[in-house]
Amino acid sequence: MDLLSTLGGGTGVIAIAAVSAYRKSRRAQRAAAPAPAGGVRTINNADYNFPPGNEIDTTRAAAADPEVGAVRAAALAGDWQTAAAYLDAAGSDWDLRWYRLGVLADVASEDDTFVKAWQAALPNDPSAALVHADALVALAGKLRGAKGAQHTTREQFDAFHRVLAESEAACRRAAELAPADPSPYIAQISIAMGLGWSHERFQALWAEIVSRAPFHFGAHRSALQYWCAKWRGSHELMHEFARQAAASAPPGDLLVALPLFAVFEQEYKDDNYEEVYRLPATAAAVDAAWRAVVKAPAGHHRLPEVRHMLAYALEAVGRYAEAVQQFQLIGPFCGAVPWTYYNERLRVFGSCRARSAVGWEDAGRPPVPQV
Amino acid sequence: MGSSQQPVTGTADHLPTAGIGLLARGLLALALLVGFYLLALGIVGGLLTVDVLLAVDSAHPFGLGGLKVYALSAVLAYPVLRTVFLTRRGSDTEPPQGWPVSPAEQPTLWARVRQLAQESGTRAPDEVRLVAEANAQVCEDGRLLGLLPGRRRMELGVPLLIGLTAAELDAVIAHELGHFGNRDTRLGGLTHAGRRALVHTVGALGERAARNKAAKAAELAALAAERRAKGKRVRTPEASGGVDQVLARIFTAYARLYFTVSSAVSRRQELAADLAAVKLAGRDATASALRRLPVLDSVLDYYLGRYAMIGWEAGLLPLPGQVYGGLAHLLAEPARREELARLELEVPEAEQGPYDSHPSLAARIATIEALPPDGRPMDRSGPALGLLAFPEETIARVEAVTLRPDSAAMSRLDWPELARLTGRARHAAGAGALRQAVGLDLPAAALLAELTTGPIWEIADRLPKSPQAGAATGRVAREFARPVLRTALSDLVLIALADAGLAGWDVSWAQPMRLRMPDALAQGLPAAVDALVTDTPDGQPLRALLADAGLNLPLAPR
Repeated sequence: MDLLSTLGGGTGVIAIAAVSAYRKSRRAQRAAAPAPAGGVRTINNADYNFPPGNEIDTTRAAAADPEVGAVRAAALAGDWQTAAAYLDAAGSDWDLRWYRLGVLADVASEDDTFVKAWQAALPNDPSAALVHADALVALAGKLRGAKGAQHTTREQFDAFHRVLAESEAACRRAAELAPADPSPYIAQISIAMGLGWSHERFQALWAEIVSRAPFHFGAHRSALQYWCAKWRGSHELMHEFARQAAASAPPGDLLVALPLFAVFEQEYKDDNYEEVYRLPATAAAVDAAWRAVVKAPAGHHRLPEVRHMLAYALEAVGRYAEAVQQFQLIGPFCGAVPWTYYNERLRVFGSCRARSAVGWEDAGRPPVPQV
Repeated sequence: MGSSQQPVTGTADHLPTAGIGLLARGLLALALLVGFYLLALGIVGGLLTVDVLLAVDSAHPFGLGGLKVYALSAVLAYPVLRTVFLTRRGSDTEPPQGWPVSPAEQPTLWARVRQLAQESGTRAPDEVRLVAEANAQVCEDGRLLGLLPGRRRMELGVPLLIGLTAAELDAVIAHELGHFGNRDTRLGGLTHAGRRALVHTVGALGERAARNKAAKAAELAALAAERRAKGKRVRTPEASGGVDQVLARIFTAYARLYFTVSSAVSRRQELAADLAAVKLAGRDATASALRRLPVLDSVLDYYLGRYAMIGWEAGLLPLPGQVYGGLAHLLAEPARREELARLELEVPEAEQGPYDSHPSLAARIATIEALPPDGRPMDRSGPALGLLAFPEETIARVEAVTLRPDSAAMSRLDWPELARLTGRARHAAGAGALRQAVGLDLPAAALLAELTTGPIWEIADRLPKSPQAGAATGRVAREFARPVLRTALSDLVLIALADAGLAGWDVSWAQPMRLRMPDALAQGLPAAVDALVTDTPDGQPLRALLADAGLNLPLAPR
């Protein structure tokens, strides 16, 4: 669940694999909080309505959704009807469908009894075929493991490639059964990363996706990984992709937050915290994301993951009042990007939150501006 | 004194004149060797001079600065003294390889060698040894820095006796005798000593440098790990090999000079020996021997890997005399002959460096083939092996002294049996693992019957696992187990088929060892085994396929 929620539904297991153990340890964390003038300052969490560190759940981005818990339990128990109903209730909200697919694929990558029962009962059910396909993608990622290539055995790579090849065929079958659904194509983004698809081939896949769902949040976050320098792209390609997505998004759509994830990817890779956040483009992207988040309907399934990224970026560009507010809204959770890129995610989260509070104090506790 | 080795396969640029006299070549070799020690002494002496001047001229010879200089020079001089002067380089003479054959044992071979020696006007070797390589060489234990003649030894590779005609072997022997005649071997000791000293010094300094570097790198890594643990940013500097690396570079530079000079000499020697061979054995036989040598060398590699040593890991070897002698079967195979004949026409144009002690083979062959025809008839001589009395027994003796000692305890089998048991041994691991996982000591077919009806994934869970597979659960564990199970099942099926005489491993000299089974079976097996390793295992296709082939699996005993 944790991995899935960090990537916004669907299977993101392979994307997480890129965050190699090596980098995680090398970076340890950027507790390199620039020591505030006048030495170390301690803040009292209660003064800011921040939950104390020992109450923070490091495995999830927001409070557990009771519906998700119930669906997982039902699926594990072999009850495919509940799983099917949960997925199909998303209707043609493709991003919600993708998000819910992630929940089911995660279960099915561990135990696919319910998928087999589902397929036996309804052999041509598009949703069953989709869960089966996406579960294979997730399974391939688990077989490979999240370590760098030098710490991955031949056996792991072989199993990864074998199952990934199976998943590709399964995705094609799911796509045939549901011609309007972008999900079988989005699931292939992870395959493209795992097998190193060329830009041309990836762009053809991407065309299938955007022709069905132009502003699909999950698809964009997944594709952003493909365009990262650590996978098949570069900083330039990644930023260009994020910029175009944000520019084309309808007003108020959470997709405008995509550039924040790109900026963070660059910062993480280059270790240049100071520079990337000083760019005017970054400030503008943070502002747009903030406006979208403030206006987003409460309970939007993408809100938690965007809020985590936004809080981090607000602090980095020095908008402390807004950052403090977002940290208050985040509550006792830090199982999301950017924190999950670090071994000591709780410490990174805590120090960022504390810097927000200190910055806000030093600025004289300004009010949060009106949108 | 040392021995010089002049392998026949080697390297040359121009027509040799053999013009440089023995004395001149001797002096050159000596000068190069002395130069090496002078270089070492020069480094140490120079450092010492600095120290002495400092001690004498300085007002405070034992001040901090002075002590630093002394310490530095000690650090520099120590490795030189140690590696050049103080280290024993082991015995200068390696024990001769192979099996010595006396004139009484091998009268025909000896008569041929003596005849050729007489024709070339040089003294015949005192010793002839048969070795395992596709090579021939001679050496002479020259005395008094090589100025006086010594005991002569000739080594002939068994693969040459097998793979060359008698006329071609004449050319090889005549080439080697040419080295004797040209007195190349006499200075071998001196040249060899120089090479050894240089190689040893550069090697030892390089090793020390590598050790230093590794230690330094480990230290830096530990330091970096510590900083990382503290959450600091890390930039790892490059580790270097220190003083030893610098010294290694100096001696490497001298080694370059040394090898450039001495190689030029030995390249001329090769061409001179080739001409001696042409004179005795004829132009065509000499050229054809030279063409055949590299091919023979690679065929030997191939033969040893795919045939003679195929059962090594299972402790199986061909019959005595066949480990090397079996090469004759491969060379006699018509399908192979064609391929080899083609290879002999394409002499590889190897890159020549200034330090190669031999001219390129292509250049040597071109030189020989450019000579005018000598009117000798075409080579109709039979295989050179005809020179050997009791070939099988003799080759067996060579095997006994050249194979690794652990081969003595191995089973010696005829070729069909070697292929059969090697094939079985290759599939024994999977079958054995399944037997252990099932927990019943059953014959292969009965075990297979058990598996086609039993709880196969429970059994698969008891097969050996990698750490990653052992730590996995659910579908991940299943996917790790699937290929392991599949391989083990395939092994078991083959063993069961072999037990029933329905499949086997054949030796073929035209192709590598292969599995023999009916086509229908070979085509159907992959899918039938696949059906047994799905999430809903189905043993029926495998049972049906095996039954069609004539192997009815017994009903499971329970």
